Amino acid sequence: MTVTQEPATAGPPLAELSARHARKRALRLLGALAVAAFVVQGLIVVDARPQDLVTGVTGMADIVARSLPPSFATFSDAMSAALETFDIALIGTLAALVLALPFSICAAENLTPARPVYVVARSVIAVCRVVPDLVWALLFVTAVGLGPFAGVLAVSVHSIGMLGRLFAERFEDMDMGPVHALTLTGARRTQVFSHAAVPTVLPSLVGIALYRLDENVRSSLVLGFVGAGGIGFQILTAIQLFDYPTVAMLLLVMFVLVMAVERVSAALRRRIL
Amino acid sequence: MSTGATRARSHDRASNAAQRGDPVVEIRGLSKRFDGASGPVLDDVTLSVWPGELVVVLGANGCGKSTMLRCAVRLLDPTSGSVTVAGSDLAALSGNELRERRRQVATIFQHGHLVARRSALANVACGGLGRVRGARVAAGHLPVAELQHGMECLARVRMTHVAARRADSLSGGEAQRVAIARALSQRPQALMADEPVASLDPEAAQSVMELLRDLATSDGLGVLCVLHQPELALRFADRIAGLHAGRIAFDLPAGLVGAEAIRALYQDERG
Repeated sequence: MTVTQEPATAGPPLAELSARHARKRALRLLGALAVAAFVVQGLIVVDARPQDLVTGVTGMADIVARSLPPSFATFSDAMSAALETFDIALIGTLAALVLALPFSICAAENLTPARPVYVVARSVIAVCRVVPDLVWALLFVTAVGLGPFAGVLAVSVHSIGMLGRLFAERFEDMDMGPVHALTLTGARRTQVFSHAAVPTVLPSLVGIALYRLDENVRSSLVLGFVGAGGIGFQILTAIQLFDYPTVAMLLLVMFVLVMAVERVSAALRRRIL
Repeated sequence: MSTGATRARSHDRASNAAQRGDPVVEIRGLSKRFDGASGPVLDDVTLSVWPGELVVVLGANGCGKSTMLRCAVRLLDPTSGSVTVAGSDLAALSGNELRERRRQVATIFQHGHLVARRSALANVACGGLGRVRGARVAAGHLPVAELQHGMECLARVRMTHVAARRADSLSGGEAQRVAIARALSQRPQALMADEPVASLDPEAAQSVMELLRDLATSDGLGVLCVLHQPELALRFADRIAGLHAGRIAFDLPAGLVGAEAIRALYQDERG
């Protein structure tokens, strides 16, 4: 019987493969232990005491009992405040959309015109995103005073960060085939972007923007707590006056608004995608 | 038709093409080495395509065929060498000059690379974007003149019946013909095709190769086509260049390429 000797370039020997496999297993084990250690330190730091939740449930039940039945005496005011909350989210999202698009193009590695532009765009997006919308609202209330305009500014700036990052990632993940194909036809950069990149990712961008609108409706409710207009401000006032039946009515109105926006946005996303 | 007759005709076409003056695409001393690689992917490749000629590049996986095509259209920057298209060296150009010169060479990819959500006609009309400018075009509008020319190009590839269909609803063969129509709407002097039939069934592959053959013969385009199917190369090409380990192993009229030469291209390099 003849034995054919494997050429030297056939691949790494079995012993080396086995050692590599053992190293990978050891690394995986170390990773799992590190995650477990983080979870344990997290439970210690947050001072988790589930028993307190059990003993304190009567206090929560008391507030719920005092909220019922909801009071509809100020229902018309609540409706106009709910509309204001929705408007803060809508205008804030639209403004963010207009500004996030150019930032995201500059912040996408495959579309950015130059490396310094990429770094600046990524930094702006990071600052907008990392600072919470509540902090932006406090800053803008100081600048433009109490009211919905401060809310619009806060929602808008924070959304530039959120939309900018998601849009940039979508651009980076898109199929570059059509972009290369149009580039090779001699089309200009802007033409390639509008005729190849935009049609390719538009449904995703619209879906992300609708999801952001949905999130912003919830955010603008909380922004009212710091004086940035909308139904949040009414909820805060009613809580401070211990007027729990009015709080219950306001929460019901908010629940209907959030659910309506969520359903409509989900239906639109399904239709587009 | 006998194989001998096919080869004789192919040899004649190659001779005629060679008598038509300057080549439309001239690759000279093209080399490409990727960062960190032990050796060059392309090593001193020289190849020319004359108007009206269909040149097929054959070679095993990883021999550098697609890299050569990508360097030729400057999707990749070559390490050294030149690619002359209609008298200009693409490798030395940049910016608007490169863009203008690229219009002379249309490229066809394995998967067509059509914009999925646009109609076949809109995709074809996009081939003419290099000729038009203005804010409306930059915003995504396609001029009527380009759409009309797009219909003519679809008619040239016998695909007017799919004009209104979205690109993602086309079959592989239909998409490739629409991609060829987009290439034609550039009004190019040369076509570069990177494995245009690799993902098609035999019938669609033959139909696409017949179309490329016809574009060279009837429209006078110079066609440089990377293929994996020697039988298609022998049947449709005027000239066949064999690429082995990044070097041109042979460059001969199709009628003179023997089975042994082709077999040698696909032999295991370690053997």
